[in-house]
Amino acid sequence: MTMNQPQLLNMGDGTAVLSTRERGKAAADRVQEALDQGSVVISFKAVEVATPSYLDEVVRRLGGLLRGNEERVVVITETNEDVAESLELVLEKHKMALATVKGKQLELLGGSAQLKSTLAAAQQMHGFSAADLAKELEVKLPNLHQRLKGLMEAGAVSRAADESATRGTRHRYETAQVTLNK
Amino acid sequence: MTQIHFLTKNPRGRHALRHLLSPPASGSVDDPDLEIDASVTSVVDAFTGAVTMANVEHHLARPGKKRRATITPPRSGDVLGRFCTMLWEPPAGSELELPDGRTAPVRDPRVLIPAMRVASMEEADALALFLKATSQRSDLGTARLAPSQAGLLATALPDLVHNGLKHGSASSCGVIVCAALEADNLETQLVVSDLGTQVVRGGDAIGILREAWARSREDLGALFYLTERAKRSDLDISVQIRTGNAAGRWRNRWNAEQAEFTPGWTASVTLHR
Repeated sequence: MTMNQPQLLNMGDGTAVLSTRERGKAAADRVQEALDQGSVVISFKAVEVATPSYLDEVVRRLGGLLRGNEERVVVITETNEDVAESLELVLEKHKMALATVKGKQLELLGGSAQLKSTLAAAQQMHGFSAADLAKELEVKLPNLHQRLKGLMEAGAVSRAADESATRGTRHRYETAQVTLNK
Repeated sequence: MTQIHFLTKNPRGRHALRHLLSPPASGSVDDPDLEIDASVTSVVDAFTGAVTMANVEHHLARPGKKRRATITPPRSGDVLGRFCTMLWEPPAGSELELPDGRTAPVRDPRVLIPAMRVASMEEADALALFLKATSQRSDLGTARLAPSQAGLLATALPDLVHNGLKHGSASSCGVIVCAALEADNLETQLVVSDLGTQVVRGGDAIGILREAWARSREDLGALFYLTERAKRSDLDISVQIRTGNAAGRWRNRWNAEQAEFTPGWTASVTLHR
């Protein structure tokens, strides 16, 4: 498996209710194992209820694993309104954000309005450089780098060294949506 | 010999908790038969159901003798169906004794979860799903819960039960759950009770309650989650905890105070409309 080939992880696996910290820890182990291999799509398909204690364990582990992340994308999919609402609350507590797919759009669960608008603009550009996006958003480059760091730690954006750069180290960025569609 | 325990006319909310049977003192009379007489009761809520079931389970679980429990339902026709629905399936060794000539009343659909002992997290999870579905049934008409309200209660239930199973493991009645729409349809209650002995008479119940609330804030426990999610979803809820000589209540803000003694630990959520 290559680093960016996303692995699908079904949180429910036939269980409609996800509860307790102990089970959350076991789920966090599965997430960690998958993330060690590369990008991950975490699906809550057929999950009706996920308790905050369960989600807290998963989110906390993800927060640790994605700190300083550059290469991996993590996308949450198929959450019902309840699960999404609970996830947002848990993410808010940890001052975190995670990427999610709503319809065909990539969005953020948690995170600031600024981070959300940056992701929305990044999605229009597919592959992009930081300078391109800074120009598009009319923000200074250091400011944009901060936002991109936040989006990479949310698993919403990944980056790789730009081989075509002639001077210094340059990166090309991709949103998770692009990675998933590959 | 039979120990008779009378329910009052209005055993709801904190008034219901007064009826919880404390573990008997050593050397006290130990009757093998318990009769819970609700014949004069005219209104009941989820607290009434939870407390009655807790008392039955507590009595049957006491060691040493072959025990029986009998529940005499209210005489009043208005409340009979509601009471019997709450205690529809009393545990083995106990029975609902309908008055002579009365047939089983029609079930009250506003009882969302009849009072029952929950022994495992698998059962708690199943109940959460059941509550989510049953509270949104179309036959409840305008009383049915909105998806966000049903989701809030269903999400809180497993963690509330888990708290009981973990911290009240010595509870003689196990963990009891009951949920119901109030008779006037203006409130929905979810009650989770145990008779754990962690907080005893004379202990620092308020201190324990404050610590539990602080821990819930820290670890995003069920109680704190309920209040945060209600604020986000603009739902009007109150959360109550009663244990030992302390009562904690949240309705927009948290408050803990001295109160009448309640054995064990009872946590409840009320959705107001």
